[in-house]
Amino acid sequence: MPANGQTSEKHLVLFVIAGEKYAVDINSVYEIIRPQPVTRVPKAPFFVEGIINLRGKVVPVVDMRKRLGLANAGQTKDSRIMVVDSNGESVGIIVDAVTEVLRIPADSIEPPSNIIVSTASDYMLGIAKHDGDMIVLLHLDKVLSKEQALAPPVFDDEPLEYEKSPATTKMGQEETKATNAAVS
Amino acid sequence: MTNLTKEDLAIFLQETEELLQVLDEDIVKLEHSGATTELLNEIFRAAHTIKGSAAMIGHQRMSDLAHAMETVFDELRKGSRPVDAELIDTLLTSLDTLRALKVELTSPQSGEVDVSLAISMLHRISTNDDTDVSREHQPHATVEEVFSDEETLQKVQSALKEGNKVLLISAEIDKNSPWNAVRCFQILMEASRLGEIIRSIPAQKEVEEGKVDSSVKLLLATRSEEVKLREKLATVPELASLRIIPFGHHVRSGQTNGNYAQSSSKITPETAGKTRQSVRIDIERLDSLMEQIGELVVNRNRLAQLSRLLEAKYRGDQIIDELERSMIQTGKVVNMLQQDIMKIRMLPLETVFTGFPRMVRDLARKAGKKINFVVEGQETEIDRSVIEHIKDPLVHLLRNAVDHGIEPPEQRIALGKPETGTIILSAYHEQNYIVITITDDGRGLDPASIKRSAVEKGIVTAERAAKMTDAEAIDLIFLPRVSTAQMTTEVSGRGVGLDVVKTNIEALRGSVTVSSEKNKGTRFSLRLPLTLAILPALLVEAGGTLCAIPLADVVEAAKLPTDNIKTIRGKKVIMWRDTVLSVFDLATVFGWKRSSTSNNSEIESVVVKAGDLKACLTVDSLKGQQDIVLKTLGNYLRNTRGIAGASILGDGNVALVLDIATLLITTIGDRRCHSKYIYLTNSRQEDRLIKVN
Repeated sequence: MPANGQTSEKHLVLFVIAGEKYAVDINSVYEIIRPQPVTRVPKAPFFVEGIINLRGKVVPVVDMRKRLGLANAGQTKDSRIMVVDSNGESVGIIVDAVTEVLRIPADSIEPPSNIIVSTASDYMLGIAKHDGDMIVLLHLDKVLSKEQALAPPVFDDEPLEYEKSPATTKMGQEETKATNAAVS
Repeated sequence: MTNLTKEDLAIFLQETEELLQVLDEDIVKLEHSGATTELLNEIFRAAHTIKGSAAMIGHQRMSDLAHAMETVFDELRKGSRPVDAELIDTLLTSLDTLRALKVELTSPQSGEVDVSLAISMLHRISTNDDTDVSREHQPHATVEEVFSDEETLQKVQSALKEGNKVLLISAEIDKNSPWNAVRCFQILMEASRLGEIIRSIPAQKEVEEGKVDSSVKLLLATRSEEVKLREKLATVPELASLRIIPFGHHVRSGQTNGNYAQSSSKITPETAGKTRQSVRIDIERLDSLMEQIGELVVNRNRLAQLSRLLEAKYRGDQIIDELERSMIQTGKVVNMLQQDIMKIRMLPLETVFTGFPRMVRDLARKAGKKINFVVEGQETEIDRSVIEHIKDPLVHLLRNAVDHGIEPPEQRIALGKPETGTIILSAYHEQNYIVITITDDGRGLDPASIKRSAVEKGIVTAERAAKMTDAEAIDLIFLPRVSTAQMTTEVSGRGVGLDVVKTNIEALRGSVTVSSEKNKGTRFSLRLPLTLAILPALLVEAGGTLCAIPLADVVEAAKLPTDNIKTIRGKKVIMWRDTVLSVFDLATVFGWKRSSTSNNSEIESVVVKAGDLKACLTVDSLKGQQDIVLKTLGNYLRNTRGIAGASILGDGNVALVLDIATLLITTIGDRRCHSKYIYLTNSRQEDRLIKVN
């Protein structure tokens, strides 16, 4: 949500998933670590990669590409696990890259309803405009909740994508099987 | 009935002190800022709790006084009495008396505190006089008065001088007993075997002439233990109640502490004089300590492993020898630390069971039933974190047993059963578990009416219900909204169902089972892990992932010839020690690929069990045994079936800890358990039921 005063700023961590820029509030990020071996958990939601040992704590790890129904690209040297707070618990999210930490004025963030036409607006806090880029501010609690099936954010200048979005989730699931096979 | 241990007393004192503090502050607040609902509720609750816990330890006068205060608070709450100076004065006086009663418990020298003044003051200010209290309080006094004639007192005094104890025994015989004279005689006989009867009402001669009603009171000079006496007297049939109270504090003025129950004699001046020093610790801190020691254990194991490797590599090197010795020493200390922390967290079940005899008695009386309540194995110890969560389920099950299990006396007689029903609460160890059973010899569960209830509530369809076996039907009682009660009564049937019991017990990694036979009785068994923290486990690898199977669930781990695995109706089975076991591949169950080659002639397998269920799990490889610390997967992965949690091993790897019970139930073809689980998850979806069955 845009904050009240004009002078207020948002302190954000920016990251990239499938070429799109996303951000979360810096206060909800505990740490950023390099990818490490993940222990699979059977029968977990399809977007949960598994669990990792974070200095003696067991932390679940979510693949954000799968969560957002995007094609899997495999890990690169830029891939990171961001350990974030989701409903009071630590959850790791796998992103393609963490790019920068940024302060932007709260009034440059617009509510998602103005721009986005899809269920995606549910898990977004807003869209920030920065250097001509659009940055999606994620609502972590919602985006990481298990109950909701998600579609990637679709901007209204791409109406065809919106039509396709229900199928996208399904593709995500098939993707999962493929990844599992690849891991084993 | 009350068995007051030092622990109980310490807990009671601490609790009461806190509550008195609350009352103190709140009554003063009441005077200053007037009555608010919130404040009055808090005051009422505090008085109510004191009343309850005082009654629990058998401190009758304290409970009576708290009750009288509670009555006044209730009137305030209802607005039927204004707050004025007289009221506050009276309340504060009563509070001081309560405090004196508390002090009386720890310092026997202070003599007996008189509560009658405070109670009568409270009655005076209370608008509707609660005569109950004074009535309840009365007989106690009269009993002692009866024996206060000069001759008796002299005898008492001389008996005390000779080093005897003088006990006042009062027994009630079942009012309907046709043999009351015989029973009285038996009581006198039993008592005289263990001591000398100073005086009895009725006297032995009167008993022989049959001049008796249903009660016997006697003074006994004895050297026997009270417990032994109680045991002997309890063998007399048709006994409705039995009270044994030390007598003679009037004679030896102010030497004994209060006569608040037979158990008072257990608090000897030595123990009571100095209250046990203790610190209350937030259970979370204890948990955190436990977890860290758990990690230490895990790391100790890893270190031991490394030092063995070093030893193999540099055998004979002096530094290695030193390391070895140091490792052994560290290992010992860690072991002791682990045992100590476990001990700190262990409590005897007694702490939970103590209140039950009284509760059952009261419930039975209210329901007009006759019940003999037997408690066994209350010394069994269990982890504190478990104990805290089993009281409510047990209370629920006991209430059920009293209310729905045991029939009213007439009905029992008509059925040719003994008039008095029996409820047995029993606890015992079984490997790393404790088992608590509640058995009654009542009417049993009626599968037909359970089915009816389940169909009415739309939980199963009529067709499905018709096909169910009795055992399947009885298991339905663990589902939400299915009721066992034909009618709702005051005692139970008030919304909290057996499904809650089941959920609570399963949250402790335990299980509940029920067996019942119509008109014979019902037995609930709760199986609970001794501790929730460290558990020995067998590590295996399946589909390239490390899994830990709690050792308690493992029957055997072995290499089995693949030829032995046969296929029956599409299901893989194996002959194992003359039984046929289902065979599952762990990786396949989890939807993973086996990583080892399948054309080996032998396959690593683990025979596991959960209750009566056994199965053979095949795995890629066995990795040995290790103590592990179970960690939850967190809310995020909470409902992952078949996985109890994860554990971080000494080398930093993460292993999944299997929940064998759930795994077997969800996987195995056992129809009974299977269907139960499916109902739980997909209630009312008949199509899914068919698919799974």
